[in-house]
Amino acid sequence: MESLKHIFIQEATELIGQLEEALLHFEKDLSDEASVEQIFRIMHTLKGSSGMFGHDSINLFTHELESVYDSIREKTLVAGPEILELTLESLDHIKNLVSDPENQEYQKEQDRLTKKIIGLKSNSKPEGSEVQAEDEMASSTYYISFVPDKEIFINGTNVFYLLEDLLSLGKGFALPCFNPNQDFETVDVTECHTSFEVMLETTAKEHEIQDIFVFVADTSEVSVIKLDLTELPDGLEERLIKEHTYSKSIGLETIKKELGVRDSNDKKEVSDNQNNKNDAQTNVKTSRKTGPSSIRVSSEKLDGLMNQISELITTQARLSMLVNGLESAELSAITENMSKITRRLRDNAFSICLIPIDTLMIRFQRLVRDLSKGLNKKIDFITEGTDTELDKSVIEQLGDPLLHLVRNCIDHGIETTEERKKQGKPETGTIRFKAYNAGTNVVIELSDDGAGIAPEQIKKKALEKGLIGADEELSTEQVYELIFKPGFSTSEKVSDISGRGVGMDVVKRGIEDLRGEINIDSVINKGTTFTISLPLTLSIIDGLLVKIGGHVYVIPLQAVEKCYEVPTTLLTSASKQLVLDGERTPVFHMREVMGASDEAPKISQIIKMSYMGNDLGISVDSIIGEHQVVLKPLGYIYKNQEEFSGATILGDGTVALVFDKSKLVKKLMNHTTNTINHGNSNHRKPVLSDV
Amino acid sequence: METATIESQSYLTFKLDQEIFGSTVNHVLEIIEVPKITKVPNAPTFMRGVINLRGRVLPVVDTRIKFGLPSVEDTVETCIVVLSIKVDGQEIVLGALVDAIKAVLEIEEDQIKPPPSIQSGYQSEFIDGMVKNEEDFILLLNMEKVFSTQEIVFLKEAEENSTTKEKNETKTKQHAK
Repeated sequence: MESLKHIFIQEATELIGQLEEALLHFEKDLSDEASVEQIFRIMHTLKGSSGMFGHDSINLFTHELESVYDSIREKTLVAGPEILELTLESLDHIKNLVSDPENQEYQKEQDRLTKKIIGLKSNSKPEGSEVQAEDEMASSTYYISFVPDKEIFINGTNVFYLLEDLLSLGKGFALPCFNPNQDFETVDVTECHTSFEVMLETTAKEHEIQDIFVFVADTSEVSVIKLDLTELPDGLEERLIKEHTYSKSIGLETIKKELGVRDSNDKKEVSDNQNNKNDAQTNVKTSRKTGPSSIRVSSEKLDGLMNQISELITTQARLSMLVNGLESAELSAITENMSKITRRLRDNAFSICLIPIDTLMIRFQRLVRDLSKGLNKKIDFITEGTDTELDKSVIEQLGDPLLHLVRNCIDHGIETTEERKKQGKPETGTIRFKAYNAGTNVVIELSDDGAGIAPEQIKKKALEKGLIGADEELSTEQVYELIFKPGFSTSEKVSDISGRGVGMDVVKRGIEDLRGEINIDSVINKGTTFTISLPLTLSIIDGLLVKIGGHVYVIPLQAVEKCYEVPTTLLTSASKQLVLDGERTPVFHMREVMGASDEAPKISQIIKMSYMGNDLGISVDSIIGEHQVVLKPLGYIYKNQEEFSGATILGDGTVALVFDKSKLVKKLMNHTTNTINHGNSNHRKPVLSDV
Repeated sequence: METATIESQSYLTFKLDQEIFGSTVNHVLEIIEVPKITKVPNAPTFMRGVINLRGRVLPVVDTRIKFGLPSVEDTVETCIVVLSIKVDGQEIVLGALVDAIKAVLEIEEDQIKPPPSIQSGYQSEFIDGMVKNEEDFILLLNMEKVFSTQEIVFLKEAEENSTTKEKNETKTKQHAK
């Protein structure tokens, strides 16, 4: 049951996302019928699946919403901003319901919204409603031919339910027809080889009949033809069955003959209409087919696949090493080929785990829309390169920091309409979101054409907050860096949108947790650009292999700014100030910190890193070289060893630990005075682990 | 124990110092030789490091130190028992270094005696019971309890260890931070 619930939540969340996207699209063009159609269809699915999983309140609520769009579809209701507003509000409500169906507090909200929705419907009943009512009273007969798609069962569709639904509209019967070309010896039982003909006498209108097939119309052939008859004659079914061979459809002509109806112009028109409709449907069909088909796979399975592939890569590396020593041409040819395949397999598998950044955009579009309305600013949100792909886990963790940045742009960046007019700028502000690939990184640029950031103002603020000293000389870059300091917020007033003083530091931390970087560039009155650079995936990193005390460690290449060579004699204690490139830089002697016991080399390498705008160095015995490594978690037991983000397996099968730059630096800074204890000599005394 | 059939369970027995210990095989995934172990600096001493277990990074615990026994050089008999245990509701896999593997024994439930009392020098909460097998006494360990504590488990409550224990407690406090 739990897992079912989970499936529902997942499905519903996806549907809500789609719905939101469709609604926002619809808002731009209120006359777009395809959007209404899509909105209606998604709502219908949501209603269906919530009903299936027993979420009655969602089911009822979506039903109400759906009927609004049904009216829009039928043009008995004109879509306007207030309807959209209400729909979006309702959508938020459904979101709440999905995530916490037990919460009673939502009931009130639901009652309120339901009332509003019902109010909408009754308000704008069109003038023609009486005529329609009369229409509805009159029954007519239809001939419906339904040829299901061969693969209809794979989608889990029960053809009989469709027929049942159809017959429940009125009085009628369905006759099956089997494909005579199928040999029972060779028939594929998972496919559908039966088609149906239905005669129906109903008060329902043609589109209501079409609606039943709305989910299969894409792939199956459905034609609904209205006959010139108000009711089906008695005994028609018996007469038809008598002559029915079941291997050939009876066909409209035969039925007409049986009914004694002549072809009339009127009918022809109807079927022409039908054809047009079919054409329209094929259009929809093709446009939808162009999107790549996809299957849903649990992320656990993907993780498993990735694990095995990284095992394969390490094994492959060992094999290659071994073969190099053997000098067997045949063997090396095979190994080389295999390593090629392995690499391709790896690239493929990694690309499976990547999803387009598009998935985040709906959230932002909604945010921009809602906030700009609330703040009375006109803002265009332009996205570019949203098909850029990132690891799923990166995208998940990226959502909140980005959301915060977008909020900041809206709140602080873009000026009010009057202000913009004064400045001679276009009334509508622009927020541009741009994503692109750059090497093994993905770069996201978020820019606005707003007020920009004034360095003096930041300095003043930082001074007030005591973040900097009065006489500190800072470069513009360093000033911008201040924005990311905890407790810094330039907003004069505290609004509910941003300016709570938590924010930019959280953004920065969030992005650094993803091993990314964020930079600001700003021109006063022209705008601000945030540039975020992120690794493609969290599991592969470019690293610098170094040796400390006989052990190999990996430092993420992105953390390394510069390398220096110094005589080891200069490094006397765990932490020391050295002059590098003319600047005094604290250098941490890693041999001391790690408690290395082997003989120190004469010359040590110093790796300069930058952390929160400060430079610092760490010393290592030697630098081995660059290496692309697959990061693996150290696991629960080592959860206190925060300075390592994980471990990786080297080509020779040994394990090397991978440093986490920001956590390592933090730890080093905190412990400059305490010599970090390292128990190599005496195992009887537990050594204070340094946490 | 009123059941007619006597329940029996398989136990893997291993040697640590002079003692023989047993662990139910339910937790044991495999037994491997000691490969090159990569040390994790600044970790508690009983954590020997990490190894590569077929592409997976496996933490290895020096069971001797974990039990408060003096450490010795690894011998050819030294093995790593790969265990799967539940800690805080999370399934974790780790390797436990032991001096030597003895055997897998079928032990009937009625053979198991209650854990020894305090004066015998063992902390009873980590021991499920004892069994006499030929000349040896086998202490049946509760592996989940032993390895889920972040501290060193003191089997021998010798006086000299009391100071270490205090230190250990401060260490645990530090962990809590």
